[in-house]
Amino acid sequence: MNTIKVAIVDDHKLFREGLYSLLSSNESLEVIINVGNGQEFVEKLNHGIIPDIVLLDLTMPEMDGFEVLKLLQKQFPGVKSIALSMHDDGNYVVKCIKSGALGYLLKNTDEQELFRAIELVYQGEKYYNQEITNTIINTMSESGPQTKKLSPKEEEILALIAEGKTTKQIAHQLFISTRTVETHRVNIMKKLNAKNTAEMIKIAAKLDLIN
Amino acid sequence: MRSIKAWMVILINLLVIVVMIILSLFFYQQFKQALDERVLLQLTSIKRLKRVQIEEYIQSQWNIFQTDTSDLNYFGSNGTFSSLVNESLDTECLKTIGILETEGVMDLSHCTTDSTILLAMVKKYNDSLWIKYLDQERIQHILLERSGMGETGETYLVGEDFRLRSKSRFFPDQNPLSIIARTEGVESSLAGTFGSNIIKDYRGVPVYSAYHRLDLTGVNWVILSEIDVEEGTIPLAKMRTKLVAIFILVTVVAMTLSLLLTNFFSKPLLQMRDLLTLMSKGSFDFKVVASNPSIEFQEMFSALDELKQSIQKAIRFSNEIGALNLKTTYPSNPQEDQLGKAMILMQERLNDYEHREKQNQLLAKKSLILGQEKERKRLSKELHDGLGPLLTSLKLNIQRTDVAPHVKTKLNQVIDQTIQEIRRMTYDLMPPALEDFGVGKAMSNFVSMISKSSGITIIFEDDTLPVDSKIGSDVDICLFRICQELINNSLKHADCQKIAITITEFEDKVSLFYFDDGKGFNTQEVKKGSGLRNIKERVAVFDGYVEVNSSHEGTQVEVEIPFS
Repeated sequence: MNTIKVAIVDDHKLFREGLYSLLSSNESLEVIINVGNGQEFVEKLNHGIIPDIVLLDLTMPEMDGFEVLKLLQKQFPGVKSIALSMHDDGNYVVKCIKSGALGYLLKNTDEQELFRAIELVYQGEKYYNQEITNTIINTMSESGPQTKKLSPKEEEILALIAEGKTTKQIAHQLFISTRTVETHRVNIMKKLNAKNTAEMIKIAAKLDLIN
Repeated sequence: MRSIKAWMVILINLLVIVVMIILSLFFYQQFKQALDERVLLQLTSIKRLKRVQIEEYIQSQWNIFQTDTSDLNYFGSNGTFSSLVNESLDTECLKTIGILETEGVMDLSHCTTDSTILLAMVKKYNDSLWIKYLDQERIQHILLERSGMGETGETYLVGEDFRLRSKSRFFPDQNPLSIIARTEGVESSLAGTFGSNIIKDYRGVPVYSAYHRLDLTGVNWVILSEIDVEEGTIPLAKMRTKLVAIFILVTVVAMTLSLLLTNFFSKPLLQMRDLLTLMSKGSFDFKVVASNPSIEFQEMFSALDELKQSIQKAIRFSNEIGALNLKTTYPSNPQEDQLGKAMILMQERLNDYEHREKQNQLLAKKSLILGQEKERKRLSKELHDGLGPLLTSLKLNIQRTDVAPHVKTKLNQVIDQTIQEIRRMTYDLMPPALEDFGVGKAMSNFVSMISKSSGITIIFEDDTLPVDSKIGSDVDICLFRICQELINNSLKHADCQKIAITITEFEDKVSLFYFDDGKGFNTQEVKKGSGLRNIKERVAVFDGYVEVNSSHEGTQVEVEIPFS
């Protein structure tokens, strides 16, 4: 069984040392890089020292974790990364995943969890902290860039207007204020280049935005 | 310094009196002149009538005397008086007056011993001297005819010697010859001039007099018709009385009228003076009522009323300004209104001042809030980035120490709890995600956390732009804090089942809509220092809009923050 080559990138020296000795105690792991920021890590990579797994702190001076992740995705796709962070906020997990991290661990993780995560990721699987994962689901649904001309909310409102609903009814239905509905309506009109509501409906029908 | 009333009364009455005096004098003079002429004319005609009668009488007697000899008295012849028909005649005297040489009517009064008036006709006939006495009573009778002569009128005769030849009306018992009438009338008549005039008569009393010389041969007498001026001018006196009465009447009327007129004109003036005095004392609580129907006064009063109103407007405006109601508009055209101009300038200055003051307050609030948030952020970061790694290092180190496994587990638990506590504190101070991902993402996480711990359904709709969001980090914090505060309020007080939050990003603003289905609260009664006030302040810092509606069906809050 080959040893897994691990890199530690963390600006906190005490933590880095602790982690190093912990990992060193495991015979299947070999810490080949132990640096304090992204910049130094990239230098090592550029010198041909390529780890299998990188344990990456997110918050660092001189090139933070996300930048490192982006660079890895582009230049070193073979290096599998696990984010190590104090943040228990799902948003960080989502961002890490988007940036190409295969794992996300909290820094106060147990030694067992740490080893399991390294193992799983090394085998090509993903590992995310269970607690945080539960909170991700909401956040995940929000993603995806808006390519259409009208935002989903605007399309929704346009459809309701076409149904003949009043501003008040729409506001009530969508949990937004009448003021916001009005603003949306004005914005839709602006986007569709319509002068009034009737024209707005007409243009929307022509563009198949409503049926 | 007299009052206008006094001036008007004096002037009007002076004018009336002067005019009255001039008119009265003129009329009096005219009347007097006419009266004099009239009286003299009347006297002249009486005098003429009597003169003619006397002359005719004497002429007729003469004529008879010439032809008729039957009734003659022989007087004498050739220088001797055969007999004296009248014993009282003094023959010597008769001789001196030439009775023997002349024929005709002769005045023999001088030669009577008992001083009676005697007029005789004398003629020579057959060398004899014939004489006949004329009837004195007859002449007297003619003279005494007094129709149209009033109380003091009389006609009398005067001889060459200025002695009366007829009875005086005033001295009927006195011998006429003893009365001397050397008056102007007699003198001018004897000189041959007749006429009429106002002169003094033999009594020395002023009389109207018409005088003429009798046209008789041998007798040089004067006839005079006279009436006392006093009586003749009785109408004049009456008229004078009337004039005085009229004068008094007119004066009284003029006085009354002038007083009325003065009142009529001075009343509005005095009223105006009183109103102006009131105004100058600074009192404007009165009503202007024109007390005079004339156009000029009406205009004057309406001008005063306008003045009052414009001053009142200025006062009201000043009061409003004083009460710092700076949005008040000055209700007049200040083009010509210097006061208005000054007031509006003052308002503008105050507005500027207030605006600056508000800006300053806002700035102070902003710097306070931002400073607070900055401090929280710093603390949050320090806890998270400073303490966190130390604790995690501690945990790692414990795992490598040779302590009993149960002790290790215990220690790890404590450290994990501490880290969790630090996370909570960090989050409370400032969620790191807020800065890293913006309010939308941070809220998603926050909401799911709260929802889990409270068991209340919280629907959060993040309608912010995932890329190129215009929401600045200050606004992120602001919106997050508002949501935190509102959720906190809802959980604590609203007793709600559902909360819905939508954050929508527009091109020029971001809008937050918050809704809970709780029991609501009275927006007027919420205590100061409550969350609502904080929310309003936070929104004000960004010049945003906030509206809170609450009823028993729930609470709705909407916030809009424009992108500056």
